Amino acid sequence: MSTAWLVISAVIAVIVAPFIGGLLAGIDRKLTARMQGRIGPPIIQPFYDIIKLFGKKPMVAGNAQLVFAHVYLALIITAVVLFALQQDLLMLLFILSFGTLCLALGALSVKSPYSQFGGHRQLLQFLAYEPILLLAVIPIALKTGAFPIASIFGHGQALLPSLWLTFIALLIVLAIVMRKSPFDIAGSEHAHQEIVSGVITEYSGPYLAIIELGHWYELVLLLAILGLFWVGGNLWWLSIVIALASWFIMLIIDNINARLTWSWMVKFAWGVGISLVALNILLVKLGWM
Amino acid sequence: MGILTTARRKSPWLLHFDCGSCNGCDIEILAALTPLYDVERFGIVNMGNPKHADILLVTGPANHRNQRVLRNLYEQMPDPKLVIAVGTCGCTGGVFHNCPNILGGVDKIIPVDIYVPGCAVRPEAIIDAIVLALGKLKDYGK
Amino acid sequence: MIDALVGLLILFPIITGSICLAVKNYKLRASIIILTAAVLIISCLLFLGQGSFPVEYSPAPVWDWIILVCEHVLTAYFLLVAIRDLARRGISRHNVLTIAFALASGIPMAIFEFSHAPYAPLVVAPTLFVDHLSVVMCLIISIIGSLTCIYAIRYMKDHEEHLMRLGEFKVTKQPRFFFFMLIFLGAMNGLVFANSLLWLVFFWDMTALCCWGLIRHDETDIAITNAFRALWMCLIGAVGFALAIILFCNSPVNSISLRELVNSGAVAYPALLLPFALLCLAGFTKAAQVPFQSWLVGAMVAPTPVSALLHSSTMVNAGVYLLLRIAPAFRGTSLSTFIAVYGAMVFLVTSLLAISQSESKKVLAYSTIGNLGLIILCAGVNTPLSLTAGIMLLIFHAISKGLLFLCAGTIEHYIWSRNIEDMEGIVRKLPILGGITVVGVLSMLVAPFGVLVSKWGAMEAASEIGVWSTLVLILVMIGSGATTVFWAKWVGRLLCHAPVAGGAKREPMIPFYHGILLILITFAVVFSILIVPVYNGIIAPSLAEAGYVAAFTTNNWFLKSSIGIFAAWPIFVVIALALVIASFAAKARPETSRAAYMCGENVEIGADEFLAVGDERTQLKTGGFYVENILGEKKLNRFIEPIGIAFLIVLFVLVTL
Repeated sequence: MSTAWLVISAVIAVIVAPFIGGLLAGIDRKLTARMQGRIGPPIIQPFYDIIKLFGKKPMVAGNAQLVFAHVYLALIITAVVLFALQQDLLMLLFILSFGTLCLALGALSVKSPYSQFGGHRQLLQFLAYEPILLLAVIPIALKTGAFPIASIFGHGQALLPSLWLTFIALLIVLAIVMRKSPFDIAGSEHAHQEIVSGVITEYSGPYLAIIELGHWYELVLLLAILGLFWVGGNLWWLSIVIALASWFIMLIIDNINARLTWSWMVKFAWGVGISLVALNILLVKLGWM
Repeated sequence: MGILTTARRKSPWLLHFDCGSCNGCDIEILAALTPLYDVERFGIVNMGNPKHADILLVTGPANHRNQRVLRNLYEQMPDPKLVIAVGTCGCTGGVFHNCPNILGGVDKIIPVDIYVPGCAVRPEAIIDAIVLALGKLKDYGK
Repeated sequence: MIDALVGLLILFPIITGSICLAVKNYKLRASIIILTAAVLIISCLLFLGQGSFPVEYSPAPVWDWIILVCEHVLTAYFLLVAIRDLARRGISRHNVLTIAFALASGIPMAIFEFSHAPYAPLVVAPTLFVDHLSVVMCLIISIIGSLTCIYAIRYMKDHEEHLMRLGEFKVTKQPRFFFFMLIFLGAMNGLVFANSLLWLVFFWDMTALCCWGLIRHDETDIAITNAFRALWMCLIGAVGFALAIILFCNSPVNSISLRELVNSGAVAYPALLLPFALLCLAGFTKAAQVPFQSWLVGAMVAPTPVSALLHSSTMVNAGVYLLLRIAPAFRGTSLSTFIAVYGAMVFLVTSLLAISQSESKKVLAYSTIGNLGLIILCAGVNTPLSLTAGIMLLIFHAISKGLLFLCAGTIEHYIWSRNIEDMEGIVRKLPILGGITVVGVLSMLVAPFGVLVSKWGAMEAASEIGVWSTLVLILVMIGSGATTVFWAKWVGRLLCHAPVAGGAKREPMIPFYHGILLILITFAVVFSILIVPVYNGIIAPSLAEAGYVAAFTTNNWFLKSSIGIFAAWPIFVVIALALVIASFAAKARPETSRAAYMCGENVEIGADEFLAVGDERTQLKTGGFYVENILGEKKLNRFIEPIGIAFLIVLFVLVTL
């Protein structure tokens, strides 16, 4: 794709992604409600939430919070832009990880019990999924010859048939990042009062809205990365279907699971996730996949 | 009605605080949050965190011990915020209003927007109170 | 002019260091140190500027005699101090091992030199060979080393005043301290310029001497023990060198010119593989890789400038410098792949260990060993991209880690503690120092700073080496996650303070402390932004001189390799924009919440107190998590030492087969 088209798609991505993310969050709550035998909020409820939050009086527990919320959003948007510009996938993930780190640091910068242990648990969550996410880039690069996303588009055939092990590992990452049970350890989207919002406890008003916006961008970005696995295959719209299907599976898993411990999460993620990706890399290197 | 007011009316997040109640009204509030009444369809979510909440639901009368906690929670909520005193005890002190440890209704400590009498209050009345409270948001900022 | 500059870079600090030994006056000594620093910095910049590389230079033959004699004097001195320690404090495994390894390295060297060149020292032409890799090291040594020495002027004064207050002070040891610090700088410059292996070994041992002398500075029991531990582990390297030199001279190449040996290569001359492996072993011991990591961790008892200079930015870099220098020699051998796996293993293991440490200097020590493991991984992967990443990591790690050690030392001199838990909220109490430390840690950790760009390069390069990529990458990725945990935890502790309205009051700046820290943090940030000119200026030429193709093209100041692309400066722009917008939001004066959420039990006056049972005012205490029961030293060292030894055994089995 020519540079002009890429830039236009980046602009469109930045504008459209939060709307898609918000809609997904709304459909998430609706479907969860239906699964629980309720009616649930309207699909555009997250937009009401976020506008209301922007209208609240700003209140911070320290200027560091303010800074980290802004840097978090800026970096997540940068990651989305990098994706749209089809840049290096590994670099994109490092930018994404810095963004997530800002969230943890913002929480850790306030001397509040819930914020502190939410922040530390966020770091543990990060420890659980980051190796898998970074490793997952490797089989993609090995198959397509290079790390930039442009080479996935240039590859000409879908990656899913040969990299389905990596795809399953990435589903674990998706569950952890989306903070769905059993991985909602650092703080959940819903009101789980045992940890009192965990990592976002001390954020309020517009800064909470900024973080929520960042979460939406992050969700869309991860689903887009999952959708990359079918780029080049027949029926191009299947990649969107695959991404949405993964998201839906997360919903179901969320509703049938309870929260588990952080040590289980790390063991599960490393044990299952890393083994799957490692096996995939080995098989690709040996030429059997 | 601007988009901001619409959003505020469509997305009330609650903080529920038991100020000294016998738990009768608390049970009714929790019942209101169950799938039977499904308040989430109005956008109502029970956040346990004053920093995220818009509406403070207080049950029970105010006494010397918990006035500090109540005031703390109220001050940690960012504006615009509303307070709903649920139950007769919350409104005036109820049957306990002359007791030595009781200061009276919740409005002795913090400004209350809606009073919901009842002992215990029915879930429908609680939902009605929240809707009524949201109507007051139209006047916020004027 | 070249000979003048080389002479200045090597000899000037040695001379001024020796003068310092006799100078008792604080101000005079400070002036000598600052003069040395100025001379070193200007000389190395002039050296870089003169532009014609590589430089080949052989000093007059009398220097070969001097080096020969001094080498044996040095070995004898090691024996002497070890025996003296044995007499004073009894037999311990450290002084016995020192004696053993000193003899094991000295005697073969003496026999070899006598048998090969009975009446004159073995001369190699050229004696000194300076290419861009040496210049990179020289810049690090001369600039960061000098800045550390200037920092040490004030630091040691405060250190001794503190000891005086505690009643433990007897007589000033600063002359001896600065003697070792300054001659160390000269020795390091000599080490990176040396082409003759005999000169290299001498300077190598001289750095070991300085290491020993500086670790034992406080002369407590533990300091002396750890000094000898460091000494015998470094002497293992000297033994390796001795054996390697003997093997090199008995091989078809028959030379002790490093350049000639590297150009011959182990692929064309398989007999060279074992001696190169011995040189790798020397590098591993110097860089405190597993199983030798205990000397570096133990060396943290030394005053902080020692840790900053020797144990983060300079001396341990000598080990990885050697590996980077000889990497072209074993390109394509299984030794290379094995070294890559080894480096990755060290990176993972030390990153996990660092999570459990609450003493700041130990965290920094483990992180240093881990990053050195990464550089060794780059040397082992041995592609243009990985070597570029390795040299980049060398530079940026030296800057950031030196900075962080100096920050830890400065914080120690304000709060008199090294524990991370005691540093809670330091951005409020000491805003400038706390801010520099936070940015310093972030420069080690996050995109788009130089350390992360090198990690990115190393990871992409590691994917290209065949089936073993799998193992290497698993170790590196898990290690990378682990490093984020302990760095972020530390930054979190630094930032953590109760909600209080109003800005923090800036502490009065001390020139020797804050000035040096500000210079170093400026280097860290500016060179990360200017990573492409740095690459084009000194890294790309060093790869070209070693015979590798260029790894990156640099249009638009992006780093574009054949398999990836990293755009660093746009990210800096984005972060700067975010900070500007955040500062506008802060100027709008949002209301500062008077309390954190503690279920409403906050005491109204105190921001971090709550009322507990019986209305008792209780301080809120928060802390980091260290999971010592899983990742503590006691738990992991049981596995790590045997694994390290096993790796080394496999390494030597591999090369002898």
